[in-house]
Parts: sequence; C-alpha cells; structure tokens
Amino acid sequence: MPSPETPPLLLGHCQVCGAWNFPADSWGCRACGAARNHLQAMPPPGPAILRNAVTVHAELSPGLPVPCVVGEIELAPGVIEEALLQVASEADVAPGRVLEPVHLGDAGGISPWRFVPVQGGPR
Amino acid sequence: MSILQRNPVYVVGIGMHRYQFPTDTPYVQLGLTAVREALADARLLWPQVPLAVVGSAAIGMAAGRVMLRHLGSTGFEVMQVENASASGSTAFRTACLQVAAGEHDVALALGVDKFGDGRRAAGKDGLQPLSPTTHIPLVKFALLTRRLMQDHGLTDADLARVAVKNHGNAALNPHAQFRKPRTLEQVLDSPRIAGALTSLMCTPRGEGAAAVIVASQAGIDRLGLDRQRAVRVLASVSCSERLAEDVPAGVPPIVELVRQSARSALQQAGLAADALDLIELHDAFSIEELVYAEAIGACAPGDAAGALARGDWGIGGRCAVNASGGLIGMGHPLGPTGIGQVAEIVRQLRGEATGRQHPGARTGLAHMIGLGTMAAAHVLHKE
Repeated sequence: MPSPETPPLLLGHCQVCGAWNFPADSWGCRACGAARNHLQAMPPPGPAILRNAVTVHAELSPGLPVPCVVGEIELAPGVIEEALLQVASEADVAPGRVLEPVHLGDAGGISPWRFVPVQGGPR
Repeated sequence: MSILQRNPVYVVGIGMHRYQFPTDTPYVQLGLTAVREALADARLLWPQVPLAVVGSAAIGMAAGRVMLRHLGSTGFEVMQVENASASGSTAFRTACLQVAAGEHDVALALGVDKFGDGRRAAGKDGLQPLSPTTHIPLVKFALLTRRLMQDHGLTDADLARVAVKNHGNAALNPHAQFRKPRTLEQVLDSPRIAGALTSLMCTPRGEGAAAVIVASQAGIDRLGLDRQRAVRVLASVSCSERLAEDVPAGVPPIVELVRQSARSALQQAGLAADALDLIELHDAFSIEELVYAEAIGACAPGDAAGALARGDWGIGGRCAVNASGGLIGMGHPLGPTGIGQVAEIVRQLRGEATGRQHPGARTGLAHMIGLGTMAAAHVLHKE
C-alpha cells in the first residue's frame, strides 16, 4: 500500500456515462465528451495490471535515464497508460502482474509516478 | 458518390528535393527545388498555379508565402496545414478537394520540412502524463511490436526483413536519404533503440521537400497539359483513431484505423485490395509495414511475414510495398513524406521509376499515419 505521505493516484470517473479517464483532470470524458466538471476524481476501481512492457535503450526524452522499462498499464477498464516501471529488468515483470503506483516526490521534471510489482501478487 | 468520382482530379506534375540528414540548407531552397521540378514536369509556369497548399510540421507558421514569393507574387491563394507525419498527405488531400470542388482548376501541394525542435501540441495540453514517453511514437510502436511478437509469433528476423527490403529499394532511389543496401545481419546487429527495434528498423531524422501539381480535366484542357502522363486521384480519405473499446477485441486501435481508412479509400475508388500494384505506407518502424500492409489487404490474414519473405512485396512481386524505400529507407522529413509517397506512385504508374520500376503498375495506394492516431489514404490510377 502507498505510505501516508504518498499522494493517491486518481482517475476521473465520468458522472454522465460511467467511463474512467486519466488523468483525473482531463478536459472531457474520452467516452461521451462530457465536460471536465462531470469527472469525479476517484481512486482506481481495482488494481493496476501490467499489459505489456519494453526496455528503452536510447535517450528519447530529456531527463529520462536509460535503459528504463516502460509498461502499458491498465488502470481501469479501458484506461491503458504508458508508465515507468521501477524494476531492474523487464524480465522481472510479466503481463498480468499486479503493480502498485509509487510517488517519488521530485523526479527531476518528469512524472513522479513509478510502478512497482506488488510483492506476493500474482505473477 | 464522392466528389472525386464526380469531378476527376489528376496529378500532372511531380518534383522532389532529396531527403537528407539535417543540414544548414534553408527550407526555402529545399521547397523551391521541388516546386520548380514539379512545374517543369507539368510544363506549367508559376503564374498558372492559383493555389498552393503547404504541408509542414516543424518549420513554423506561414512558410508558404515566405518561400513561394521567390517564384513571383502572382496573388495566389496560399495556406499551410500541419498534421504531424500526415501534413503532406493532408496538404495533398486539401489541394485535390479544392480542385474537385471547382474553386481552382490547378493547385500545388508542397511538403517541406527541416528537423525541428520536436515540440508537440500533445505536450502542451495542460495535462501531466504518467510517462515522459507517452507521446513518443517510437515507444508506442516498440510496445506494439512486443505485443504482436507475443500474440502472432513474429520474430526479429521478420522485423529485419522489412528493413532489408526497404533499404534495398532506397538504394535504387536517387531521392532517398539512405542509399546503402543492408543485410539481415546488419539490421539485427545495429544498435537497439527500444524493445526489439534496432536503429536500422527505424526511420531516420531528416529534411527535404516534395511537390505535386493537381488539375481538373478543365484545367488540363485549358492549359494544354499532357493528359497521357496524368495520373488520376480516385479516392481521398482521412480519419482518426477510435476508442479501444470500440474496435474488435484483440485488434490494436492503430491497426483498425489502417484497416478502416484503407477500406474506405478502396470503396471510394471502387476497387478491391488485390487491384493494388503498389502501396506506399508509413513504415517509420518496421512492425508498421507488417501490420499495415496486412490490414490494407496486401496478403491473407496472418500471412504478412510469409508474404514479405516470399518476395510478394518486393519490386516485381505481387504488390510492391514501399518501392521508394519507405520511411525507413527513403526517409521521413514529416511535411514532405505524404507528398513524396504520391510522387513515387505517380512516377511508378507512368513507368518512369528508372532502376526500381515495378512492372505493369496501374494502381497504387498512398497511406499515411500522423502521430500514431490519424490516417490519410489516397488511391491513384493510370488510365
């Protein structure tokens, strides 16, 4: 579980159609187009699931150290986002693995969120 | 019936400035080289062109007027369109539709670009993505590659064969950025960029220009242009990606986008996919050619790697895919790329692609993707 200091990772739950959105402050619902004020910031409805991952070897983005592992993570039904995995190797995680978001605080100007495998979770 | 079926539009002139690694050459020089070549090819004079549509993604605003005034301030209408990798395709589509609509009977579509600062609107939308790679197409396609290798048994060698074919075609194309044939081993041993993608499986950064001139039948008649070398634009389609939940299960949205856009273009042209002799498509990363060519219908479902390995997609094969060398071999300077595709198909359909001519070519599809989320497709035919 996140520590008490870790801000929660929030999604936007559309009060019009029920679709989930990321980020929570999206400018409108991706499914029905409802305006931002109809998106309620809420924790994800279930665990974050890794769907795919690759290792990035080349320097593609300022401030992003390489090699690094980037995953496609299902945060909620229909919401699959790229995110950085905090693992030694992509071999450490397989699709279907349950992940936990960790907030680094200051990450040098890039997103502070990293995802780590839940210890003891399904592999 | 589409407007292009009711009011035929023809490509009457093509011109290129070679794609190349970034230099100090001003974009004005790149663009004017292509335009002057297209004018000469069409046997037109600049004052006879009343509309110029410029596709550019990285130069900045109002490049068209700044560049084209050096041909003469004739009072021409000028506009600039930006649609990421599909900027040139969108400029071509705009020029075709303006002519078909009867606004003008001749129009120039010009793509020109320098390698820019890489700033994208997606990074200025006021939202914080989870990963700094979120808007980097290379990572998206590395992830797609991994998924399709797992789901469909594609191998590193399958990916490398795309690059071998397209570097080989580019070596025959004087307008290409890369001019060296590459072996399977060279492609596989080149530096790894992300996932299974190596550097020779990826498009290079570069600059260049491409120009085409389109005209209506009335324009051809009025100006006494050579009808025998004209190539008809049978279809023009553009659309963008749908939500993942709205596409068939297990099909990546980008693949469904290609399938739908190609199907719409072929329907508009009144053709089946097996009528295509040539396809120029967005192979910025080698996985794209495998999945897009299959989605377009260049092979039976599930047979992309087999079709490529058998030589079906080579010059002289059943349907030549990226005879120009594609984005991997010819290059991808963004603004020019979609117009360069059209120029290549026109050159092939005229039988003028010396050294890389696909025999008997009558019909071709130019298919382009922009920022991995929108598509533009054009069907061209030599009557």
